[in-house]
Amino acid sequence: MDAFLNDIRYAVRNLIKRPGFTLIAVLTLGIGIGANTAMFSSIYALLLKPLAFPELDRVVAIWDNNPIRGEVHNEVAMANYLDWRAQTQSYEHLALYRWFNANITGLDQPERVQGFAVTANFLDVTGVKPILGRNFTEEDNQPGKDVVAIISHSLWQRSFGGDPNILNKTITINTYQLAVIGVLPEHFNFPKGGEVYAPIELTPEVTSNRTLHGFYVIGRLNPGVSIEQAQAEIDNVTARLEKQYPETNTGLGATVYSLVDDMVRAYDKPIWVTMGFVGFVLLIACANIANLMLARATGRHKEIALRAALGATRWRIMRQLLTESLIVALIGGAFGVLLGFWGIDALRWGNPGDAAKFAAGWYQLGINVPVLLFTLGISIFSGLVFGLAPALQVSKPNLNDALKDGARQVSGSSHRLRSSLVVFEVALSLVLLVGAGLSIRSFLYLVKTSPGFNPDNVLTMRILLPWGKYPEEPKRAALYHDLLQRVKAVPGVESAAFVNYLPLGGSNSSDDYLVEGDPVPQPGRENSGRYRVATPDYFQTMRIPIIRGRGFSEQDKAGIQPVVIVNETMARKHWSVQDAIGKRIRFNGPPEKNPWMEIVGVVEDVTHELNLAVTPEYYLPHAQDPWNAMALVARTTVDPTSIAGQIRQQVWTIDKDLPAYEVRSMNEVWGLAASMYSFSSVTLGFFAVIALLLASLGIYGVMAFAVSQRTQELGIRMALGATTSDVLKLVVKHGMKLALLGIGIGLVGAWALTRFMKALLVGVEATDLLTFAVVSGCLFIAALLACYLPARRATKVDPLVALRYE
Amino acid sequence: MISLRGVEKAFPHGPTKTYVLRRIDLDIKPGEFVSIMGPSGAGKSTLLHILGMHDQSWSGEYFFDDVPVHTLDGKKRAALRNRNIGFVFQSYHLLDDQTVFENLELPLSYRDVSKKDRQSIVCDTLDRFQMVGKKDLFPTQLSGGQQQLVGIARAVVASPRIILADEPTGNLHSAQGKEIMDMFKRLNDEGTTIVQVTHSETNAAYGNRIVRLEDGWIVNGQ
Repeated sequence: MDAFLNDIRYAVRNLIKRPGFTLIAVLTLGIGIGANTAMFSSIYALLLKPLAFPELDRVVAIWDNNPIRGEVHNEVAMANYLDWRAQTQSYEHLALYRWFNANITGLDQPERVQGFAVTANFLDVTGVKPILGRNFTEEDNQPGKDVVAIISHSLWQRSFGGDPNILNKTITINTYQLAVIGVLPEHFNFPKGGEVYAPIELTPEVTSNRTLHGFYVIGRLNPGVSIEQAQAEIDNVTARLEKQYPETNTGLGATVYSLVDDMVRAYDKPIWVTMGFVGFVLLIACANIANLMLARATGRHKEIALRAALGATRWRIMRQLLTESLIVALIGGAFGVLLGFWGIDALRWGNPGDAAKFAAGWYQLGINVPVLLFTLGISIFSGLVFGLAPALQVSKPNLNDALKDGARQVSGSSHRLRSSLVVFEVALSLVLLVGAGLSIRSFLYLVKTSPGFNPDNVLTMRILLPWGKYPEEPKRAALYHDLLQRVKAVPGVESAAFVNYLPLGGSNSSDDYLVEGDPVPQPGRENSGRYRVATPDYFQTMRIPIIRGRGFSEQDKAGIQPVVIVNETMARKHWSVQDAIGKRIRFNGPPEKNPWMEIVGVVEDVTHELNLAVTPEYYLPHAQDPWNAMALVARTTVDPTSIAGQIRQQVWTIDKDLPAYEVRSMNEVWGLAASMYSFSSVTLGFFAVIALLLASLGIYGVMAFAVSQRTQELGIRMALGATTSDVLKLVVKHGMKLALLGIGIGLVGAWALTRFMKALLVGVEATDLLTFAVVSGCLFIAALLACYLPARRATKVDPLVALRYE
Repeated sequence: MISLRGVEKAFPHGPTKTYVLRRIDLDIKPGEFVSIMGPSGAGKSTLLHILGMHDQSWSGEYFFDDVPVHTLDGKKRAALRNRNIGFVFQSYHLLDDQTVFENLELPLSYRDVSKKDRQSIVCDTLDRFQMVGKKDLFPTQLSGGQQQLVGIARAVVASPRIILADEPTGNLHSAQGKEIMDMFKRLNDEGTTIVQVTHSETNAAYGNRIVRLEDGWIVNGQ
């Protein structure tokens, strides 16, 4: 213990004696550890423990799949769920839910929140109990029972002031009166964004339905049951159901996922990729410090030899050196925690829009005990990584040589180690730079590529007509028609229209369709296409070019020949752009309910999801399919958000209980859709620049050190006739050999690793040659500069001084 | 061949100067074997490095084959040096990480000799110095005498007209020293001018003229 304390005392004294080294090492390490701390904090909060459910690893999500149609994550039909529930033994609870738009009225202003209709055992699956009131019971799902609701903590606080007597009070949601029977704990955020939970009414019509795949299933496994066992069991059940109900269940399977994996799959890749990036940055920082330590150890060669000569064992010397490394690492770690706080603030500030708001676990983002333990762990790990190699290297000195005056202080293996570290740094930097380059190229692609419409000067907002209040289709169509006239009359509005889902808004509707004249597809091989419902002027307002036929008009009313407009991709898939006009399609269902629709126009493809290829898409006139929830798009001659208030007033003039929410300019909608890409490109770019700087510093350090060690050699060469340009070339060549080796290894590494970034890329391949070439070029130039500076110094070597060593 | 007139070298020392060489007038003719002698600090090595054009900061006039070296810029001096002068050092100054062959090749590579010619010249030189069997060895694998032999071979490989040797036997025992001096004598007999700095009267006896320096002044042998 006494020896250990001595080591610490001596190490601290040594570090204080060399403040320059200590400062650089602590700063370099602090940057690496700080970045890792911030990223791990988000990994812990968002990916590892996004939900505070007891025994979270037992909670699973189950999705339909259909390999024939290439579908892996499909919602489930109610009747299938009920069969799963009855025929499986793996689950303590198996629950089902679906989302709905909840219009809360009777408050100061109508408010739209996210609602979930659930089976009574929904909260049992989560293991969470209401903090006020009770859970649902099976009876609550029975038809004709009183309508009840459990609300979120935030809704309770926000809209009811945390009223302790909220239980059994009624709230008006979508014109229905619901009695509040419970309040959920703070931070309960499952499914994401949920504020109102109401029991599903299990009517015979609902429970027998195998075609409406609109429900989500979650389960709590029995203790000791693995996901694999649950999967095997449900495979048997779905195989039985396929035989029993071939018309609806052909090709239909189910996949059991861990709930956490399922929840985070939308955003886990960018986070893991970024974590990989910052991990690389830390390794580069460690390599730099290891190089510093090696250079420093060279200066201490005699001291170490003397210790060995006085009887210190190799382990004793190593322990001394490692103690110094660990102290540097721990100070760097402490500095890293400080930087981590700022890093987390930066993550919060630059978060990808609503994704953060709705990411469960976001509230936990911060420095907590697990994060601190992680930081401590990586600090010790870093200390060992950068301390071990130099300690091994210098703890076994050749006493005979080391104690002679003027003896050479650097061994060949030390040079090799330092050179290897530089190669390693350059290779890692290249991987990071390629990753960042691809990410930036993706973002630039998005910025430069037209989404198929013009998002400038367009105001959007969503409006929801409650089913209860607007059950009749003509009434809904009339209201939207009326509202449109009012919106168009607002000064500054050039044109306006409604569409059920905004392009790039994150939601889409799709359904199977049949093509007149084509044979009916086999079950599981249906034509699937996206469809949108729009009012006249939609294409004009969004500036979506009509390339054949016409857009919708006021004449496309209910009760006459249904019409449809298809996108170019769909036209080309079945006919051609020219031949599509006049052809007919219909939804795949009973003919009496799904009449043939005549194609009256072909429009250009529109990008509805940034990272997916355009698929067949068709548009229906709202008058012939009057959806209740629509999004307004208004092209304006003024700043679109400046007239949002006037337009909302128009909505409330028609119905004071209608919420007009998600008020955004179309550019904001685009920005939110692209936010993951912009966030990735900025974050990865930032870390890549740090990596580039560290690697350049590494090359510079090694070359500067090599030049100082080679003074005599360079002097001899000059005495033998080497010119300054010969010396310049010699030094630069040495450095560039290392850099080129690093670039070569880095290219292979990048080629192997960037494939994990595919989810972050759009419009660019993970092995994009241009990016690889440009990044290699940049790194080459940076390395050249880092070599050039010490090489310039080498040319200043005075052969007389160098030769005077003798 | 070489003519120095009024060459002086001094280091500033506060408000005054400390002279290392004073008013050196010296002529060396082609084919001479000159030994520069004198006590330590007399300025012998400094004079040798001025002759070798390594030292740029001196005053006076230096003519090499009637070319006024004192008026040449660094590049031209280097070119003149590379064409005419070879060096041998007391500590050999071989590059440890290069083989004997590569060490010999080095001066040629700085004189734009083609790879093919370099190989042929180095092979000839190795043969001449009877070191063919050692061409792939590294300097640390050779004895001191053998290292200095390589040092001399390296000095002559580019066929210089004059070899400047700074205490070439200083680190060698007497038998090795004799071998080296015999080599210098042979080279001199073949026509190469030799200028050596030495403390040894025996070694100086190999030459035909001795220049003695004391406190920076030539006291004998001008």
